[in-house]
Amino acid sequence: MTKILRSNIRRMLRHPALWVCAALQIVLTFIVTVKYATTPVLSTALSDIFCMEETFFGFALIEIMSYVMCTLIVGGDYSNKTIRNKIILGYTREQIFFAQFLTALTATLVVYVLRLLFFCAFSLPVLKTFDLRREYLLAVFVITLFSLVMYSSFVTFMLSLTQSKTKTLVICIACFLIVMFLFATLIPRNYDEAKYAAHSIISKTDYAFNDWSEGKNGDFYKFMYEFFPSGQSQLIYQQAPLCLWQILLYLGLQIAAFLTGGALIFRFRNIK
Amino acid sequence: MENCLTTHNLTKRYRKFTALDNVNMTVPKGAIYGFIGKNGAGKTTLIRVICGLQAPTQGDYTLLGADYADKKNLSKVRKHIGAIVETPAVYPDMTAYENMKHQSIIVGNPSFDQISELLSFVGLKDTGKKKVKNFSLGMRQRLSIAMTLVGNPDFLVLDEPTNGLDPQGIVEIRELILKLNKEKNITFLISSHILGELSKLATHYGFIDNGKLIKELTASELEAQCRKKILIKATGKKALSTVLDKTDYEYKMLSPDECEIYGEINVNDTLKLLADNGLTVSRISEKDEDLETYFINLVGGEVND
Repeated sequence: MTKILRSNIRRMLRHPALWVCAALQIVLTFIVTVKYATTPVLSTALSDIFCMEETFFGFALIEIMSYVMCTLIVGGDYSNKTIRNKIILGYTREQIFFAQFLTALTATLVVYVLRLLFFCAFSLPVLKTFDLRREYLLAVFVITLFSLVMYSSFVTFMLSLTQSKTKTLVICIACFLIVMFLFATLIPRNYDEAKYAAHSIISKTDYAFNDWSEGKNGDFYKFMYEFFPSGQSQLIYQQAPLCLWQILLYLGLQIAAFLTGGALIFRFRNIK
Repeated sequence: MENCLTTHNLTKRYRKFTALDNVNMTVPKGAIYGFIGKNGAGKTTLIRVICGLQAPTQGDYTLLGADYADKKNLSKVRKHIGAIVETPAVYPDMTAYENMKHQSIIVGNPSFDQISELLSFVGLKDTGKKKVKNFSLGMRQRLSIAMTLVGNPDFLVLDEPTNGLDPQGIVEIRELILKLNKEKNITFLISSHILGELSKLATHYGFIDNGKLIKELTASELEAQCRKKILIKATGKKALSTVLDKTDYEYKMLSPDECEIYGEINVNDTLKLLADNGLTVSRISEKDEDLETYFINLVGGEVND
């Protein structure tokens, strides 16, 4: 499997989708940082929340970017039919499937690390209001990694199911939009401010979400904050301080399901 | 090992449709095996099954001495085969050299030294930085063949390698195959429905129709079986077919005045018969049955009444 992985990684590093995605993430991080730095701070807690969202979940839609990037990079094997070359040479279906998964994961990690490095080098010094407990930082970092593994496993699963780059892209984006719609709109925000403030490890001050409800700017910020982050990251972010292990279990189950299901489907699939 | 490939009652079904029906086929070592069939006969399906892209529904096969049931050994021997199934499988955004490099990595070659030599061998050494997406179909076919050669294969499976090529491209591929067979002793399984091309290449033939292997024979056996025919054009008061019906000749009318008579006949007697019936022969010639006619007759093409 190392040979296929080596070949895949070499192609991945040359693929424009990887570098476009990384550049986009960095540019958006830059814009958000500058925008936030020049906007009056609503509250210390809010600045920390934005910092958290920005740093670890990619205010710039890390989930959908991961889906698009991984589909383009890994899905090329299906559209070009080059996956046949590996099967004909005697590699098992499992080897090929997991090599694809690891390639997708590597791509998401490369983008994430580049973005994180930029954030540390630029955003942190500019924002200066980073006031987070180390335990929470670590917890959210672990959740982010699990999330990236989940996105990669989902794309690989869909590719093994559809054997089509285009269908996978459409389905992944549709799933993303459905989840985002559900969490941002239909499921009421079960937000107990007092409870959250009591358990919050972000800041000891009260949340000033009430400030959002004032005026058009407030409506706009509230909408942007609720809608822009990916559907799952919003759930994760909300629940992380209160039920970290449940979040990890939730993500872990998804990863196990997609990898097991994907490997099984690919094993018995007729390749055209 | 005498045979590169042997199939035993190989069957492949897709729901209710049977694409391969108990195919028993043998490809001897060193042969160029022409696998002939109409569109939809099952040629590509068989190739997909033996290349591991699809599993057979029933039956099995032996590839380079490894049985289908012995997955471990089969996996090992697959490194000694190469295949082009339907279309060339190449990375369009890379150059020929880069495609070969990636194939070398997958095959496990420790170095890239042989790449230039292989590209020269297939006539692609001067492509430089040109991306494969800008290649002609013939160039892509040749690159695909070069990629299959990276692992020094003993057995190459080519699915309609001349499809879509211009006449020059067809000649180039044909010469390449003959060169590889002669110089590197590579066994070929080539599927095609362009029979004229295969007849210039193949040492063995397999005819498939509706998923069934109808006949397998060597080139010399085929030559012996291809029937002679006499082409006669004659006009007169009586119809040519009416006169021929009085004989026990096997014939086929090409037009009201022209016919083909199969097998050995006494030409003098035939001409006398036609003359006695008031027919004037304007043309008479002898032809051997070609591969195309043989195939059409084999799978039940047009026949005389």
